[in-house]
Amino acid sequence: MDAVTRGFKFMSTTVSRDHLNNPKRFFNLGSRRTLAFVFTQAAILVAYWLYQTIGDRLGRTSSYTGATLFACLFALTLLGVRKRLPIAKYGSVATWTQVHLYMGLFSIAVYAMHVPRLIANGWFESVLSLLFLTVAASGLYGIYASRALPRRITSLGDEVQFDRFHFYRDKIAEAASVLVAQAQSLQSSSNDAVMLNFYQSHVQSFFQNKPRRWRLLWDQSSTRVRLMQQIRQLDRYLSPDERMLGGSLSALIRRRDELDSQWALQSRLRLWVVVHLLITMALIVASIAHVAVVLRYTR
Amino acid sequence: VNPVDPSASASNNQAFDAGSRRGIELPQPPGLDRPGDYWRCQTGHVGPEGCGGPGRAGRCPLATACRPRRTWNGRRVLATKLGLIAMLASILPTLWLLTHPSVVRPGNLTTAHAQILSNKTAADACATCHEQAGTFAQWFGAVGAPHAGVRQTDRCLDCHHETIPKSTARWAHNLPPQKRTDIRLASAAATASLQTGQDAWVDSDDVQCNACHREHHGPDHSLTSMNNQQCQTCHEQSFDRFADGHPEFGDYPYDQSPSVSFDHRTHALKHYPGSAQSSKRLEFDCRQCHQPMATGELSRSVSFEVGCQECHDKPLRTQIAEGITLFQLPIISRQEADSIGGWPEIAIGSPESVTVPMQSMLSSVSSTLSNSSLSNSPTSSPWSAAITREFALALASQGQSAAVDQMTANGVDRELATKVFAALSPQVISDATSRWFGGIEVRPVQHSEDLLAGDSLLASDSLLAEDDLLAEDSLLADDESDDLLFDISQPQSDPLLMNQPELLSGGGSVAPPSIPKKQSSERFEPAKMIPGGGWYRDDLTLAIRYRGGSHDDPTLRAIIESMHQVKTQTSTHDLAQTLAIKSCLECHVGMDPTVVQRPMGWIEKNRTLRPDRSTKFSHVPHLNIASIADCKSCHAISRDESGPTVTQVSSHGDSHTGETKAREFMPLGKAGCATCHQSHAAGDQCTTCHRYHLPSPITDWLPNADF
Repeated sequence: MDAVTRGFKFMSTTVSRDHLNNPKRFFNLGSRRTLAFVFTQAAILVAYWLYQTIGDRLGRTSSYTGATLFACLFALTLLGVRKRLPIAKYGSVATWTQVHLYMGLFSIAVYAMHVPRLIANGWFESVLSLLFLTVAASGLYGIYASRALPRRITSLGDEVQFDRFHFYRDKIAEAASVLVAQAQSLQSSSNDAVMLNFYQSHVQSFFQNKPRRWRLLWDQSSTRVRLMQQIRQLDRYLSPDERMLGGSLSALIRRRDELDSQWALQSRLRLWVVVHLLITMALIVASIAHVAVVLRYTR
Repeated sequence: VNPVDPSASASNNQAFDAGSRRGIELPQPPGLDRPGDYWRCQTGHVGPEGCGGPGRAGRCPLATACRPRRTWNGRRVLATKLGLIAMLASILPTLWLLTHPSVVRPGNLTTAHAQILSNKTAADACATCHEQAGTFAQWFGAVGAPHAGVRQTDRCLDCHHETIPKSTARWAHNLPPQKRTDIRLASAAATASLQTGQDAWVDSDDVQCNACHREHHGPDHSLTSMNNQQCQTCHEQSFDRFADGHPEFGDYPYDQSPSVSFDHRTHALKHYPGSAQSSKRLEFDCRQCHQPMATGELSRSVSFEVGCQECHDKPLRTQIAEGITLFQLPIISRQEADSIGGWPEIAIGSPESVTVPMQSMLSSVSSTLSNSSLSNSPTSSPWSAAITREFALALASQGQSAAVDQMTANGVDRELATKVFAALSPQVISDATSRWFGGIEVRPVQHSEDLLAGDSLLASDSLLAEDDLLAEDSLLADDESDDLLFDISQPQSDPLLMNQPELLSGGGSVAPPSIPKKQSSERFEPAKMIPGGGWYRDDLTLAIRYRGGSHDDPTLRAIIESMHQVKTQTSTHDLAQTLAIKSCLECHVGMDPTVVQRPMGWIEKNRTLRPDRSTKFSHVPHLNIASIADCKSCHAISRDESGPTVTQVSSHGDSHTGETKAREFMPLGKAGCATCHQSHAAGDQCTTCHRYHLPSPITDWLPNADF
């Protein structure tokens, strides 16, 4: 393992999924997902059959679906309880997360049965609808994010602990400064301060600043590509030793870009959790109020 | 700048690649780095050679303290705490908002309800249907004792009781439990199976309005929408589609006894084709009688003048000209005539009682006649000569009111009874009694006391009142003993006054002079003298009769309507058999009092929402379809005389007369309807043809209702 690779072996937090795909397990990952999805679909079908049956028998379908939805809402919050309360450590968090995920899908189906239209008419009811839909949308994004983003993070190298991004950003910047200083020591009459000028005018800000916020929404490496192309264009003005330093600088730029990508992806996951949690809190309050209103005006 | 020689590019790339693969030593993260901490040091002093890092409170332990920053974990916990605080803080504002009806209203009302409540405040509008609470305590609990037991349905019925009585509103189909059981058992007998049919989640004896009518779904929401499965939850014969499983119609819609009888079959196949040889050839066109009304719906019939007069006017006039006899003097023996006195000679002979059907409308307990013999007479037996004479005299003296009182006492509405005798002139009766009874005074004669009381001179003469001479005068004390002071109410007692009744009557109440007798050869001929109809005296039969004039004769009409009101309707059967009345009832079967449980009425009513059926049908949308615009495409006339016959049955299943006749129309098959009425076409909802709420009051049409 060379020095660069060794230096960027950030931390050993990468979760291997090999154990999930182990054919010797009773359920591998694919089978487990299929089974859970089928079970969720079956639950939705049963709920819909009950919904139709109650409606056909002149029962109050809104009470049935509303009570189911309200119960699901509180069951979904139990994942947070499991994570935060040490005394409630029944089952692994991974299991709770899977239950949370599929129960969320079930809740969306029950919501579709409960509401007469996607967004209700009344002022309060429309707010409640929007809250649920937002939570549901963030949950669906969470399913996508929890499936796709870890793979992308893994493809970017070892996973970096979120609070150490600033440390590695600083160290990469320091390494870049050292490289430029070495290039300066190799200056000749033909390439007078080419590397230094280029570094100061184009690369230094890239290393010293934090990644731009828009990378949270749109993660692309255009800056890295542009800088690396410019370094290659300097080759004709550099001696072989300086070109070697230029190559090292390109490696640092690539590492920094990968670090920024990993930061953006991790930030996305973490922000999603916070947003999902905060909207869920508002949804719980509104749901309790909604239940109170329903009980109040049903008479 | 000296460009590098291009020939050396290969070596340049190798140098660059070597540099890009070259490793750069980077330090490992500090050993005291704590990933789960809420704070981190910005200065990098944390480590074996520095401090231990910021504490959980975020304070730097060094003397020259730096400003630690929150880690992601720290920021997440902070956000969670702030979120919880915001959530708790929002509870009270949310509860406050919930007390505002405009906030919590789940959706707009339907247009009809919204218009009714538009002039109310939001709170009052809610309270119209929901319990109103003013405080949070009330909000979460029962509003109070005064409203205990008051349900939302009660509030619905506060407005809707006009169409659905409160007493029947909560019953399924507004039918009493016993009646539903009867229907269910009848259905089970027809299908040879008895199922419980009690799968509904509502109590069929306590169905709330909101079980079906769901509000707050917007102005265009249908409050009456029901799906087929909801109907079939209770109904035993369940099926998926109208086209597959719905029972055949049977005789529907021809199983209803009409109010106006019209045999389509004989008219279409016999009478109209028979007119081809005449100068006025008739074309049997359904639309001639069933014309579109203002609503677009087809009329059930047209007027007599438009549809029937051309052929039926003359026969009808002939039939109703037979008229109705009000009373007729019976032939009695000489002995009986002598005991009665003043009996006409031509009515003396071998005794022969006379049955006058009209008397069944009149004879009853009466207080209008002074003689109690009439009041005690049985209603079904013929009147005796004395009763007949007494009634004639009363009628002559009191005019129409004597007969009206008789009918009123027999249960007929006074207004209707007045219509019966509206055309009866007392002078006809007076003339008749004078002629038949020998000029007997028939006018009411005021009693002597009345005369005295009416004499202002006497009344105001204090001399008479205070005159002791008069008071003690025995001549005046007992007026009954004095022939001079005879009871002038008994004119027969004074032969001098027999032919001078005007002397005993004051002013306008003076009886008319006796009408000179006419020769019997000058018999009154009603056909010539009163072709338009009216009451007349028949000197040949010694009867007062009524001659009908034309269709819609007001007197005959009033008599028939009265027949429905008399207390003893069975006694009217003979009256219904008289030619004049029978000719009316022959077509207006709905007015025949001998047939019970039939929709009463002179005209054929529109059946689109006929109250005696749970089904509804409108021709309007069907007439727009070219393929069935011709009435005969659905209502085909039955041409097979030897085919099946139908028993005239009323709409409620009771046998009409038990008569059978050839079927007018071919049965209306369900297949014809099912061509269009499928779920993907014109729809096959139960509620398209069936009504849930059966009409009220149910007793009007439901036989043997026992509630």
